[in-house]
Amino acid sequence: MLKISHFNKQAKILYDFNSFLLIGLYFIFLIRLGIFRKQNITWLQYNKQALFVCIAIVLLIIFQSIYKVIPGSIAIFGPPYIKYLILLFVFLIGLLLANIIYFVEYVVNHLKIDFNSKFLLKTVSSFLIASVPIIITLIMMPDDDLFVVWILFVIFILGARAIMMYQNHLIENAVKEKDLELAQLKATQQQSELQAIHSRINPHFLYNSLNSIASLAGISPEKTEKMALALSRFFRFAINKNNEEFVKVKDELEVVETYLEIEKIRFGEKLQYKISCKKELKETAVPRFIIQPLVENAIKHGVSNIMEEGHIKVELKMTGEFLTIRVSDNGKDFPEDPLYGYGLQSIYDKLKLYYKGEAHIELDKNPDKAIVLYLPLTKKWEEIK
Amino acid sequence: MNFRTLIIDDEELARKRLVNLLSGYSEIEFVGEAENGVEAIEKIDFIKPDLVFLDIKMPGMNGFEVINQINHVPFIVFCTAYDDFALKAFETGSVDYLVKPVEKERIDLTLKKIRSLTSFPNKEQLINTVKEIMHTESEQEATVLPIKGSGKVVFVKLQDVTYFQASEKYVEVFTRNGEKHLMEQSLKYIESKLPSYFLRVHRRYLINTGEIREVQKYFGGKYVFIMDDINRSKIISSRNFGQVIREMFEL
Repeated sequence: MLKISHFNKQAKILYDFNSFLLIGLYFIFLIRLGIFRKQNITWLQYNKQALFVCIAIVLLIIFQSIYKVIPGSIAIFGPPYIKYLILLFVFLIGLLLANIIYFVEYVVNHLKIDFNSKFLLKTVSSFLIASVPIIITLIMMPDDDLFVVWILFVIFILGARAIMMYQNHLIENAVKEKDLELAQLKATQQQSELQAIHSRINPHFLYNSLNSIASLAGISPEKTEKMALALSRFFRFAINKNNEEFVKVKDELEVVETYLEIEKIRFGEKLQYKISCKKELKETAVPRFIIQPLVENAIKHGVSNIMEEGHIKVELKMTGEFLTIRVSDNGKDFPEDPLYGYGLQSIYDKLKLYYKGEAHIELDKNPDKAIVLYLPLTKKWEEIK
Repeated sequence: MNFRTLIIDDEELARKRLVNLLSGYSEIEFVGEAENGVEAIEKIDFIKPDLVFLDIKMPGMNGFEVINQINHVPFIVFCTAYDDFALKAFETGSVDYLVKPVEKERIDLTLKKIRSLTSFPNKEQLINTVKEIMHTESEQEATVLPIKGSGKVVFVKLQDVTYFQASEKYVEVFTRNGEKHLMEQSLKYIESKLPSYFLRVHRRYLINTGEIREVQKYFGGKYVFIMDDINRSKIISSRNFGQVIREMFEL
C-alpha cells in the first residue's frame, strides 16, 4: 500500500521517528494497563487509564496528519470522514485490546490450575494480543522495515513480564508459607492458652482456704478433714488431667457445689447459696469450668463486699433454644464501666472458641444482679463422647 | 511492755488462727475482735489498742480505707492472702504485713519488729504508703475492652483494636479483622482508660500505634496513617496533634 522508498530521506526519518513514538506509546499502553498492572484494580479504573493512553495515541496520529510528516501515511488520505473513522477505529482497537488483556488475565487468574499452566497461558495469550497491531501493520504495510523493531519490543516486554510474574510467584509462595506457619503457631498458642485458662485457679482462693484449714486443725478435726477433701476434689477437677473440654452439667455443678462448700466454711453463715437445675438438663454437655468462675466472681465482687448476709443463686434452664446459666448475687451493682477484672474474659474466649459466636453473655439487673450465659444446644453429650 | 491487741478480719476462722498463734506470747493481751471495717474504726478509736492485726480485703471497707479514717494510730500488721509486690513497701516502715496462711515463724519476726519500735507510726506517713500501694494496685494495664451492647457483653482484646472513631453519639471501635463495635462512653473517657500505646491523632480518632502499617506525610503538617486491618483503613491526623505524632514516631 505504501511505498516508503518513494519518499525522500527527510520524510523517511520523520516517518521512522513517528512510528517509534507510536510503538513506544503502544508499549506504554501494554505496560501501564495490561501486563504489569497492579492487583485488585477495578475494571472501571482500568478503562480510565486505557482511555488516556488511547487518546495519546490518537493525538499522535492527528499530529502526524496535520504536519503531514508522512506524505503517504494512511491518516492523511481520503475525505475527512474517513480520517475520523480511522482515528475512531484506532481508538476503539486500543480500548478493545486493553479489555481483552484485562479479561484474559481475569479468566486465567480465576482458573483452578497450577501456577505453571497459568504462567504458560498468560505468556502465550499476552504475546498473541500484543501481536495484533503488528499483524495489522504487516497486512497494511508489508514493506515496513520497522517490523523487526516491533517484534523485538514485544519479545523484550513479554520476557520481562514473564520474569516478574515468576518472581512474584516466588515471593507470594514465601508469604503464604509464613502465613501458614503463623496460623499454626496461633492454633497451638490458642490451645495452650485454653490450657492456661482451664487451670487458672485463683491462688488467693487456695491461700485463704489453706489458712482456714490451718485454723480449723486446732478446732475441729472433722471440719478440717471435710475442707481438705473438698479442696483436693476441687483441684483435681481444675487441673484436669484428661484434658476434657466438655463435661456434663451435673459434673460441672458438682464442682460449683464443692467450691461453694469450701467458701462456706470460710464465710460461715454469711454465705448462702442455692443451685437449681432441671433433671433433664443434667446430662447436657457444657464447656468445662464455665460456671465456677461466675460463682467465684459473685463471691469476690458481690458477697464478700457487703456486710449483710450474701446470697448466691445458680440457675440452669432452657430459654428458647438456649441453655441459660444464670449466676446472681445480692452484692453491689456492676460498676457502670468497664467491667475490668470480672474474669468474664476467659469465659467469653471459651464461648467464642467452642460456639463460634452463637453463644453470648448478658448482664442482668432485674430482679437481681446476675451474669447470664446463653449456650446453644448444639453440642450434645453423645457427640462429644 | 504489754501489747493490747485488736484482731480485725471478716473470716472467723482467720481470726481464730491469729488468736491461736498469738496466745503463745505473754506480752499479747487481747482486747477485742472486729469483723468489718466500720466496726474496726470504732474499736480502734474507742479501745485505743497498741497493736492491730488488720485484714486488707474486707466487705464494705477494706483495711486501707480503715487506716484513712482512724484517729488513733497503733502498730499495724496487715494480713492478706494477696502476696502482692506492692506490700513490700510496708517492710521498711513502722508497720508489717503477714501473708496468709500465717506461719508461726513469721509471727515471731513480726513481734520482734514491733518490740523494737519505740513509737507508734506516723499517721501521715502511713496514709501516704497506703495511698501508694492502692495506686499501684489499681494501675493494672487494661488488655481487654468489655463492650456492653444491648444486653450482651462483648470482649475485644485491645491489641486487636486498630482505632476508635468518635461519631455524634457513639464511639465506634474497629478491630483488625474489620469488626465494628459501638461504645457509649466518650472518646476522652475511653482514652483515659487505655494503655499508652493508644494515641490520639485527631479530635475524632484514637489509634493503636502497634497496628499501624504505614505513616505518610500529608500536606499542612498532617499525617496519613494506614492501619493494619483488612480494610487498610486510612486515618488522617489533624494539625493540632502533629507535634505529638512527630515526637512519637520521630518523624
